[in-house]
Amino acid sequence: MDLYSILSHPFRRKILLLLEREGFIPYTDLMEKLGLDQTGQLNFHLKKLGSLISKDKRSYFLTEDGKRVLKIISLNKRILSGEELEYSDKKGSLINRIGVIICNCNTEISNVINIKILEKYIAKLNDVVSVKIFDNLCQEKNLNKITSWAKENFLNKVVIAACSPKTHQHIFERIFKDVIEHTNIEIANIREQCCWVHDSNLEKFSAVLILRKAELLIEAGIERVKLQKEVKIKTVEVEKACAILGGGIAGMTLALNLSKAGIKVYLIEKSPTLGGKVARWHRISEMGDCSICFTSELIGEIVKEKNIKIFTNSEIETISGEVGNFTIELIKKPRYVDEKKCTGCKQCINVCGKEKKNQYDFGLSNRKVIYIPFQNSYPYVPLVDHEDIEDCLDCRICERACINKAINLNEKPEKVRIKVGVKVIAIGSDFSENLKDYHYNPQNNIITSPEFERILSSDGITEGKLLRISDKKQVNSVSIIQEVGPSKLLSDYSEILAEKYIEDIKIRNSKCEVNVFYDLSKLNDKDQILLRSTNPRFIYANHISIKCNKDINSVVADDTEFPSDLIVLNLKYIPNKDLKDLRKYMDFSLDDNGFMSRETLASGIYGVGTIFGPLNYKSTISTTHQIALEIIYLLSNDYLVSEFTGIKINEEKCGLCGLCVDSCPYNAIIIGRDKINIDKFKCKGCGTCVSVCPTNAIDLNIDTSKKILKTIEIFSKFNKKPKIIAFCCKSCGYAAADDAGLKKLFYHPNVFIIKVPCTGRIDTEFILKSFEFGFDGVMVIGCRKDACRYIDGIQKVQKKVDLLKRVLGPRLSRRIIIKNLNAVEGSKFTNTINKFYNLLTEEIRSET
Amino acid sequence: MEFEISAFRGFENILIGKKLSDVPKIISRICGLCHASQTIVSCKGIEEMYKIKVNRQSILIRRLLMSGELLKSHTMHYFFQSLPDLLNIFDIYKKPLDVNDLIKFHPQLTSHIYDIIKIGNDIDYLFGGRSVHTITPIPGGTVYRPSQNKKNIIKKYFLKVLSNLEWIIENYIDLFSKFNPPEDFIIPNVNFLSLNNNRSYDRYDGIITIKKDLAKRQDFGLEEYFNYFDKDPTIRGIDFADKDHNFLVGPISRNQVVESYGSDEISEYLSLFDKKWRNNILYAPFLRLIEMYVESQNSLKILEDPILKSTIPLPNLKSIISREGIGVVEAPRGLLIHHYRINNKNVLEEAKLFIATEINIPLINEMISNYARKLYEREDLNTVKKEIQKIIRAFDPCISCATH
Amino acid sequence: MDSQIELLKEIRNNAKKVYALGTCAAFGGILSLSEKKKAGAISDIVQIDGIIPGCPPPLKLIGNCLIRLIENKEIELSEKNLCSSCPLRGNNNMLFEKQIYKLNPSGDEIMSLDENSNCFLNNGILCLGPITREGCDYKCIEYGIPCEGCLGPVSKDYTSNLINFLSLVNLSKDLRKYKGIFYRFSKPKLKW
Repeated sequence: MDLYSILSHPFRRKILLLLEREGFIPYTDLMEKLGLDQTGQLNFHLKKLGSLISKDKRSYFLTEDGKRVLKIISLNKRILSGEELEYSDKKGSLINRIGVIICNCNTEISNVINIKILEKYIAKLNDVVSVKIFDNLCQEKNLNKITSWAKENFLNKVVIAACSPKTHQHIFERIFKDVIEHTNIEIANIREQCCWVHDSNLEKFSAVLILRKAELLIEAGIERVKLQKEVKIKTVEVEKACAILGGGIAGMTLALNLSKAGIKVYLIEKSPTLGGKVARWHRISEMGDCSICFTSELIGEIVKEKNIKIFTNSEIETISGEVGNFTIELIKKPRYVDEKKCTGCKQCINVCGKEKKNQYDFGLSNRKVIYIPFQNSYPYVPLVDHEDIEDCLDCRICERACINKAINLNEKPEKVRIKVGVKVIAIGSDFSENLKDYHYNPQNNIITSPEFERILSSDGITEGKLLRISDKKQVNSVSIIQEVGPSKLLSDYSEILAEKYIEDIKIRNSKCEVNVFYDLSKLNDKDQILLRSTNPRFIYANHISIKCNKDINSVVADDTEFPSDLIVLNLKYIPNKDLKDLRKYMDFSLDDNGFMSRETLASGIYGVGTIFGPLNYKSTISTTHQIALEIIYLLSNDYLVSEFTGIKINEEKCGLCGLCVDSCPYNAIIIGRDKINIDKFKCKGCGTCVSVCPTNAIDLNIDTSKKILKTIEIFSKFNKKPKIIAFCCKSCGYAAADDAGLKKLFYHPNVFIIKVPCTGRIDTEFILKSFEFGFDGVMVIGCRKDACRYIDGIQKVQKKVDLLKRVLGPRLSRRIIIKNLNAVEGSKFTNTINKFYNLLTEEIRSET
Repeated sequence: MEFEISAFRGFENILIGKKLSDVPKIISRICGLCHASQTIVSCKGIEEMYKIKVNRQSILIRRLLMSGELLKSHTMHYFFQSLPDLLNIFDIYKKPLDVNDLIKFHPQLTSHIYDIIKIGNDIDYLFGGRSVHTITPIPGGTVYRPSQNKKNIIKKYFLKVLSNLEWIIENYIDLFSKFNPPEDFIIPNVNFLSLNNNRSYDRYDGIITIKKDLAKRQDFGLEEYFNYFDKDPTIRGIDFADKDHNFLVGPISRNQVVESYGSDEISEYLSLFDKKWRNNILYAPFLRLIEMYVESQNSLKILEDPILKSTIPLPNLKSIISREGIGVVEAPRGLLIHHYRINNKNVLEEAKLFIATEINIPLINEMISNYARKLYEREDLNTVKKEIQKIIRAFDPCISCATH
Repeated sequence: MDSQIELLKEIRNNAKKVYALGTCAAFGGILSLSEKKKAGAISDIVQIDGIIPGCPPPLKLIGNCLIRLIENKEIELSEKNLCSSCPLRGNNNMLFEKQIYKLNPSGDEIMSLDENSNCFLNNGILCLGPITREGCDYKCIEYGIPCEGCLGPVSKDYTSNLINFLSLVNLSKDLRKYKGIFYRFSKPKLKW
């Protein structure tokens, strides 16, 4: 149907207009009105009109298509007649055609206010094309009715006056899916925050006020949605792979979990073997098997998984990209031995002429320069440490000794590039190192807990027997000093570890005396209570020191001496030294103790294991399950879409001053030398950054500052004093207001609520403008300080209000209040409002 | 008839409660023409309180800034205010000149004048950071980073100024030296008040001298100024000790007090004017040209000083030695004194600012009253009003400064 | 003062366009500090078509604005704040709750300023750059002195910007009590 050719003839246009005006016209009347005397002409035109008209027994009438076409023409008519239609000559703005739905909620609304008058008022507003009243929008079965209403009226924006958006927003959005964009749907809360909380039986004129409030609530919604511009969201195609940094127990368990769920895993380990710290233990506490057996079983399973690719002896060089799509460049440090060619005969090790301290035995034994880290290490292939290649004698005997020609001492590092969707950091922690006070000296039988594990292990220097290192004599007394390390770091596992050692010692020598010492002067108060064990061997002294004697050392606890063949220093965990370097490529922050902080992990980075702080074995494993679920969930999407509720920046106004960066609790904004960047996935849409931007360069996509100011302006049309405006955060304040609605707790209609994502969103300008527009009081209702949904928004607005009060003086300072409550404290909400209302009423009365 | 400055802006009050490091920045905004003098004298007053000795390099830069300011201020006054009056008074131009007439009067003069104005601005811009409201003078010194480039530019500027000035001075001599100055503009018996450095021309530092009549001179140090004049809180203005004779500050006073300008060419130029000019207010425009010439020559010498090549650290202001500090300079229009007092919290408690034009007001009023009285016998009120303005203009009053 | 108001109104009646030149005309200027005299923007008395702010208005700004006026266009001032052209805007260290305790740097700090120096706010010195309009060639910053806001505020309401800005830093008690920093060039009228 070629619409233009149909409309090209004036007769046909006239027919359409006639039909619109009169509805049904019989053939003969049509002839008459058109001034035609020949049927042939009329028949021709009627045929040409095609599907725009139809005919029943006697008359012609317009079809739906015809009606639609006429709407377009009539719009043009207004243009052609010279009527000034609202245009905008700025790029990207639309003519607003707004439809308003008033949901009666099964007479809940009409019980309190006259819904017809409401409808009339709304219909008269600018840009409102159509108003419809529904009895029950959420129960509406015939969704077609609604969508065709929207299509027929060529609506591009919709305001729904109904219950709280918290209740049914998603349903409403679903109704209009593919017809109206989410961002162009505005919900005016006339139920929980209007009809349910204002008692129309209270005073005579009260019904009028409640109606006025409802009118203004909807009008504000209309003005808001008018200001909504197009929102650009970011879509990222997800790479279904995960990179795990660290091949210790946490990293390996996580790798297995993910791989079994079908996700590709890159397991990256800095050292030449998998296993981590646990591989060098004797056994895992509360479990029977020896640690290395358990670890090698785990490694065996990993090797079988096709989804896991292992990179040992590898480090990260650069990382770029964003969540869902990271590109990581690795450097594989050279082993100098070809894994594929090596058969594990160890001839090279036999012939090597130079020895070094074995770091995998914590220096208790020696190894050759070319070596295999330990039994059951993976890959079980010799290597030369990258740092040692300069040190070795360069005799090249190993190269010649190898039958398989697997050794190449000139090997260069290799670069590998991988693409992943998420990154996991599982590099664990380090052991504390400052042991001078304890006269640490393995040769003098003062050792650390990792070294003790080696001694207990059957492949250690004493073959698992409990012997002194200095003279290999039997050990008859052991002292374990607990909590060796920086005092501010807590540990929750040293007790378990001590119990394990006591067990292991007793197995080897049942008569051996074991004592466990706690130095109270080095513990914080909390630890003192936590660590009160009932084990009689645990000794809590106010001061512990170590005395070195020629044949046997002793531990001095307060004034008592305990001679000990072996003194074991039970080391605390301290933050991994590499964390600081990793921060260069990855965005996370450290907490006060230097461990990784959970709170500000960027999107796409996860952490497992002891990088967050000391954890015992069981907790470590359980965190891997938790993280595995989160990763599986994230990578199950094909695409990641950034939320509508994020922020955008107008670069022409941005001065790169960085105030937004400083106030963002999620570090989602980064300022480079000349450019500002938003991580749209880190951004949670709290709006704290918008509230401090001095040039209005940054704004939320939906909750723009212009909208809020316009809302204040519309609400100020309410004519009864005292007028109060309440900024409520959506998690606590607004929810509390809804709760008051559900509980039908009454307050005066003079209170207008503006929803903000977080109270930190509140710009001082809003408060000042509220007073300017004639409001008598301003309330800020948000979360409690420690419970703020967006970490510290409520504290930020508290600071602003405190400063503002100094500027405004005492009279106006009394008219601003901040209230902290949570989502179920509807009664507190109502009480606060009523108190404030009464206070303002008194003030106004005393002023006049 | 009275020349009254009615607007009162209250700078002395604004300064109360301010920290010392802030004071020069606020003071600078008293006036856009004498901003450098105001800023510098404020710094000097503060430096007195810390008893800091400012290093020589900072002083030289300050002198350059003051010279730049002088060039702009004096040139603008000469061209826009003195020249039209002089042409009228001596009948070289019959009717009053408007700006177009002035520019067309002698195009080469106009172009030389504008060059000097621009150069004055640029000197303050290059050494002071901004051409109006200089930034670099701070209490303790002047912020300066050595730049050979800047020095070269400024040297060329001053050479150009000298060459332009020679032309302008000779033009002035051609125009006016043959006349005798009108008697209506004779200065009555006054106290000539000026800063000087052992009788040589120095606007930055030195002692204050009062010269009464033709012979008696009296020198006094800054601390004793209140013996001669002080601020009376009940009246707006200065209370002078000498009730019989008014005070005069400005180029004429400088000329009276100073024995040598330090330049032979200057003495030659001066000798071309009859002695009768010396106590006539209309001598001032010529003296202004002379002063510009002298300062340009001095500035060229300053630019040769090797100390301008080094980077000298600025002192950190540590402890206050004295709760009161007084600073003095000769602004283009005359003596300028700032007297500050701080309280025990180290914020300003009182500020007394003695501005050149304020000192001149009683004399201006005396002269215009006499002139008006004489004129009113012959002319109507409007003409009288116009004519006495010539006297006022000859003083080069800075209304901005005076209305602090 | 009244004669000045009369004069201003007369000018407005007889001129096609009126622009406020300088911070004193546009916002009230340095006299906003005075408690004896009232200083205000001329836009409080008559309607104006634009402003050319600055104390003094920078040479380039006056030149550019005049050119625009000659071309019959309106004056367009930059909407950005001073930080956008400041040479010290480097890597942004976290400023949040930073202690600000000084108004002016010491002699040493001024001498040691170079392009690698940190922003004044990071060194505890108050700089009003973030709430001041850009356009002045940052001369003060070049000479080691923090911005005092003489070009006037950006378009957004000054008091709001000021409070939002101060809520991010910890101003020392000394500076909190000190009058005349923030309203040095423009004292906005609180209208109620």
